[in-house]
Amino acid sequence: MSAQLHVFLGAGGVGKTTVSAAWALSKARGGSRVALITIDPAKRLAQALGLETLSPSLTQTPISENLWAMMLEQEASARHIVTEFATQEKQERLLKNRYFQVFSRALSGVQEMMAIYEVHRALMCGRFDLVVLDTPPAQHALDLFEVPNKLRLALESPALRWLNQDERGRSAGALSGWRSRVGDVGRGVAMRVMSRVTSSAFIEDLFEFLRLFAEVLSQLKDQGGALDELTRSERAHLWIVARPHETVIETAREIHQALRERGYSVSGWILNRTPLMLRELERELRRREESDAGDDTRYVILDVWRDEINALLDRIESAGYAESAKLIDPVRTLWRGELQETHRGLRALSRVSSESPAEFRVMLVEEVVFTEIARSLSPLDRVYAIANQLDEVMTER
Amino acid sequence: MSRSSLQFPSEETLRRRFHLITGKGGVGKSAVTLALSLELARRGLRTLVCEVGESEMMTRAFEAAPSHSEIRELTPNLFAVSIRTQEALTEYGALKFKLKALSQLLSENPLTRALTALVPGVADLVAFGKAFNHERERDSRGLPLWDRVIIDAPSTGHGLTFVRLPQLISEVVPAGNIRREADEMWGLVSDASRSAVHVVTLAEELPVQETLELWRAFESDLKITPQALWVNRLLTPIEVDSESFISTHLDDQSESTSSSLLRRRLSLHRQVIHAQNKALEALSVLKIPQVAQIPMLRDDDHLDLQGDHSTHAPSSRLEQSLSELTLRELIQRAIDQNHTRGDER
Repeated sequence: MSAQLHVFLGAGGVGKTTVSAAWALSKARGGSRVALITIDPAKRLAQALGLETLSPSLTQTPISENLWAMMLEQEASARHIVTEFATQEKQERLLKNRYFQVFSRALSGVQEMMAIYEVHRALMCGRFDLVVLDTPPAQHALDLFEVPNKLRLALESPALRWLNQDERGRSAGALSGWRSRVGDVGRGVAMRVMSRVTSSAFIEDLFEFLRLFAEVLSQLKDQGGALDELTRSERAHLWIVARPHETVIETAREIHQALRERGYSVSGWILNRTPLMLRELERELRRREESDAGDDTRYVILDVWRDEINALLDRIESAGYAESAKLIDPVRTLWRGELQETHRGLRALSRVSSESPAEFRVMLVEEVVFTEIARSLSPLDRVYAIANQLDEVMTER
Repeated sequence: MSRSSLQFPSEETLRRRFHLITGKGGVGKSAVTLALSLELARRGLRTLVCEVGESEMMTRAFEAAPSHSEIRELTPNLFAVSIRTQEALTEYGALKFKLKALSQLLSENPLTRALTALVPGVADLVAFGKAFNHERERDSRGLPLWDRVIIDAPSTGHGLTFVRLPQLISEVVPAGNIRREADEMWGLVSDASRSAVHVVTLAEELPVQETLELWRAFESDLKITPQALWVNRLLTPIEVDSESFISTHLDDQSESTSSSLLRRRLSLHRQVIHAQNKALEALSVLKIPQVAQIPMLRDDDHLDLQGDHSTHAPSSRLEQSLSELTLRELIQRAIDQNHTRGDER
């Protein structure tokens, strides 16, 4: 039986890597064996965990013996895949192929294929109870979910079927061979145009690559299919990370919608960097009302919050001290900005909730703050602080 | 210190015709694209913004009809277009083969589709190529059709891949049209007298680390030195000894939840400012003579925090007290303020 899978998605800059790390840490402390994998090419995981470097294969972290982590390296994974899936003879030719060299090094889109391989491996190896996956920002994350389909389409295309036929007599005159075999005008034109715009030497390289790599791709397609099935099952959870900020939430909502259209269910949202007090006020309000805390509750919270702020500012102002003015304006600006952003964010969020099933939940994670300013906050401190909050939120459930 | 204000890169940088905006996800590449394009258009330069993909921030910001690959005029001198792979591929074909039907046949052919899916990089190449072609466009008198072309590139990891693409093509494709195109594209982005790469960041630890890595990757892997560094969402420090104020005047009062609220909020702000200063210091190793910046933009002028405590439902009451300035309006206002200040000087 495979491990559980938790995937974190969201717009850039919302703290996906930090939240994923905190989630993994929270679970690892609870006794689960956790594999934390980032496939975001931004590669911020090592820093978040307070490590100098992080290996491109799963390695135990000094933070917890239950927590293993890796950052995906396209090139390393591509070589790994080739040595695992291709025969000896094909391996050598592939590694020498010019197109493969570029393919493995730098092309966008390859990252996702490699991610399928690594995540699948971590899920199936039996060493972990849980795999936590940190994805690239925004729409790029969805590319991951497109891979199996793209591969299937490509592998079933006549072009590739033809490439996989016997290789005899083709190495010399591949292009002319191709032209004679394609019946319809469109494909003929496509080929002519392609060799004209890229040169036939490139086409030879590309075709050799596709021929050799087809086997690997077909394995990847199967793994992608298995992964997709798991992602749709109860063993997987998709979490969307956002900030209470309108445009961020709009992006997140687009991701959410795209996932729903593809038939995936989203377990919930984690609203990171929520302004101070919002979570406390929400808890307080739930206690007071003991009713179901719907989206209106959050508006009420904002009102309570605003009233608190107003009362405080009034008090400072009415005290009439000389320093008051200097303090009041900037504080008002700060709070107003936050209130306004949060309000817009929550309004956008309420649209999401209304489109989602009942089990959908939103977890608030407060902006991390330490009272002692002298102590500078390391990224790892932040991961710990968020992990603590997540522990709390989970027990509140 | 006064409030942080909007600051553009050097005039030297703004004179370049081709601008490529990149940076970590979520740092505000789109805000920079907006600010830069609004400023250039304000100066009377015909400016075209190319956006990759379907998000269409520009047309959205101006509440214009979506571009769907058509060029839209948003305001005098400011134009935007979104680049979508399939359409751009057809367009490219039409340009090369002078026959739209043929090129449609080509781009809609299942083989081409399969190869586009299988061959990563094609989408990026097409996007880059389209922006590049706009840079080359000439009017009937042979003058450039666009004074400035700005491309809002994908974020860091993808961004570097994106810029590197023409070079990679030159490496693997020995000859042919694509090779020639790639060489020319590479010639454009690597020519510091024609192009400027802008890197956008936030004054926070992780984004700065990523920015330094990206900058070095540009210099060492691509041999391109980015011309502009933008720091977005800069906060203004509060310069008053709030702690002594709170302890002297507020703590003795019976109900102290709000003073603890204030203390926590101010403490957070100080931390953020502290982190911001550290981040700016870390960025100084890049030795950029003129760091561009966008302050934290909020429409606080229009917000009545006192609210209207009348009979409205709480949510609608709050809604009423919040104004709805868009990012575009906020940036426009910041630009106007800058110019007023400049005129006064």
